[in-house]
Amino acid sequence: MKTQVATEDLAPLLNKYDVYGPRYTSYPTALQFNEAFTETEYREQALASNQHLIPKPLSIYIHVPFCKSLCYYCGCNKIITHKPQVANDYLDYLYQEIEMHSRYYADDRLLQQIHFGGGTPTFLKPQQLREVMEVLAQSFHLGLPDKLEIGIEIDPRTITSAEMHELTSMGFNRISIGIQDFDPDVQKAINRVQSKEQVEEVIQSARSNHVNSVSVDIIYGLPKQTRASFSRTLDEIIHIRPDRIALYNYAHMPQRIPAQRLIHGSDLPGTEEKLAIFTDSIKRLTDAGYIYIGMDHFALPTDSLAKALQSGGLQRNFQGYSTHAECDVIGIGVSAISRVNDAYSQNVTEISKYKEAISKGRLPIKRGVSLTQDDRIRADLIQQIMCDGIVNYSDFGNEHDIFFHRYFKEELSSLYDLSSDGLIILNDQGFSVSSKGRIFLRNIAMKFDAYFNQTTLQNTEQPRYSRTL
Amino acid sequence: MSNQIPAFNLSYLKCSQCALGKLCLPLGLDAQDMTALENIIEPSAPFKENQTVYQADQKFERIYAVKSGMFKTVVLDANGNEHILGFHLPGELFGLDAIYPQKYISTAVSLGTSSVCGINYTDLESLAGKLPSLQRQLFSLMSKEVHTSQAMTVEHAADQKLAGFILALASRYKQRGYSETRFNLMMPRRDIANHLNMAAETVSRLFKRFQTEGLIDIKRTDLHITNIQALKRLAGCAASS
Repeated sequence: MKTQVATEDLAPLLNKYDVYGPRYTSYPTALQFNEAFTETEYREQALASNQHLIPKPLSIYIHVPFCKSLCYYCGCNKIITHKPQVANDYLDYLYQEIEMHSRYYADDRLLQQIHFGGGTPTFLKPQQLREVMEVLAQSFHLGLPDKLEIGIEIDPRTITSAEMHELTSMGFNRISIGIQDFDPDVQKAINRVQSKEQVEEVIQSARSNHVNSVSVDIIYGLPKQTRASFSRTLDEIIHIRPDRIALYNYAHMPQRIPAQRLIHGSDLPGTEEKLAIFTDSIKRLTDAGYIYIGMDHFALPTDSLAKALQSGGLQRNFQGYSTHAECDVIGIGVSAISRVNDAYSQNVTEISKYKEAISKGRLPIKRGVSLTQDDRIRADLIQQIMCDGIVNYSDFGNEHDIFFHRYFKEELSSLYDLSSDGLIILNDQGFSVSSKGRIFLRNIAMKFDAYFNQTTLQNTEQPRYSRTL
Repeated sequence: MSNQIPAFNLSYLKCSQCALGKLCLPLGLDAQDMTALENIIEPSAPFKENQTVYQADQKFERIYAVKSGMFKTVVLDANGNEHILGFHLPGELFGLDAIYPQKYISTAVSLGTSSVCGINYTDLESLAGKLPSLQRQLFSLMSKEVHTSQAMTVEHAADQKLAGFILALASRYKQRGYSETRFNLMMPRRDIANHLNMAAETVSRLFKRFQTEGLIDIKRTDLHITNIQALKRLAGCAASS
């Protein structure tokens, strides 16, 4: 597989394909979730998942909604607070939710992956995280330590080296660090001021304690950002040399995300500048030896993500890309999303409603969707496009008992445009995504999305999706 | 999945039109005899998942032929534990064990949407007396049932039992014109485990082992036999069906 992406002549394509569209961390996407999906449906799906011939391992996502300060770009579900006691109160309910879920799963369902996201998971002190791990160990069967992945998103401003050491001692072996940008002006404009030293210290501490995967998030398109300033941030990133880099696009949607109203529109880089920052970044990172995994992800060739890309073992989930054989994912905490058997479900976003449901002995499920046969076929296809980047019509058809050409007749005829732009290589047997096409995976996947249509696309006044690039 | 026969529109199908005729009771009947048989068949409305056809201890009236989907027959032991006697595929009969005691000894339950034909046994008995080829087929199907249940009573190692179970299903699907190597196991894993008298975890552990050894490939409840020869060697004599 080619690891280099030619970044020359990308501008016209970037302009053409920069539309609003889903990120396909799930299919159907969250827009299809509805309130007819309740705890009853979740329970049925959970029980059915136990009945697979080889039931999938379990993965648990825990949402910690608290942050000490507001980052203006952030669209996540969060609560800004300085009171550490709110966390204890929240955890009391969280433990009950964990216990309620555990009743539905058979004894041989191993818990193989645990991920803490937020908000700011490091709002919780190591002692509190230890308590969460203990509750998980009581309610579920933990996989063997060498196979158990425990990851956490880290805000370097909220953790010391000693605390980092404590986390690794309790089994945390993957960290992801929000850097966003190292430039002081950008940091001020997004209200997230953190020094290089803070970041380096945390990473140094993690590495010396055998954390086997360090991932960092950076964002392009932030206020005050320029090609020159971001180039300096990239220098520093390349110097730190994390195993994985997520290069996210800042989606400015102040109508939907109130915090973003604190960002001055006039500070944002122009479209051309922003696209140049993006193509510069791809070039810089791939020149520095990173493999472009697809969409917003890069990894060192030694990282399991890059290896999975080569061997065809890549998966896509709510955290982006992963190497894990498919798990049933149980989302715990406010707004957390579960993917169990053939359904997605999401918890309520308000803490008060969350507590109310749990006090009444109910799972705090707000909405969800059960996949139809057609959803399953399309979800598999989209996963294949986003991960393997190659689709063989007859293999795919055989696996799903469909005649591919007939089933996707219209979709196939819409691929010629992508093909003439060089994003995919079409032949009689199927198509594959070109190295250039990996930038436009969302646009390719959108062709096979039965729910995505022109109305969604043109609805630019109140976009419900972020832009694809 | 390809091996699931749709349940809709089948209830009014006559024996002479039914694709299962070569496996089921009508085998070897001429047109006239076929009509006589059709007259005593009572097609039933499709069953949804987990619906009961008859209960244990209920008075025996009919035997049943599976038209689509799958049924399981379940008995309760003295301790109140369920035990699954067998799974019944399209073209197979169940309820035959009620002929001697004149009451059903098991409970028959649908797995997924399924349908049956009911046949009043008194009517069948008298018709079989008049039609030698019907009688021959009835005896043959009964003998097959005896054979299958005897095969189940022989003690085998767990891996041998499971391999035998997979191969028996494979050959039954093959007889029905479906793929021998690729089919969907409609029964939940707890039912497979119960039927084979193993723990559900053991069943999954063995499926995983077979998969690692390259014998089978599993996706959810779909099974693909990738090395049938090796599976047969493993099953040894347990593969009778």
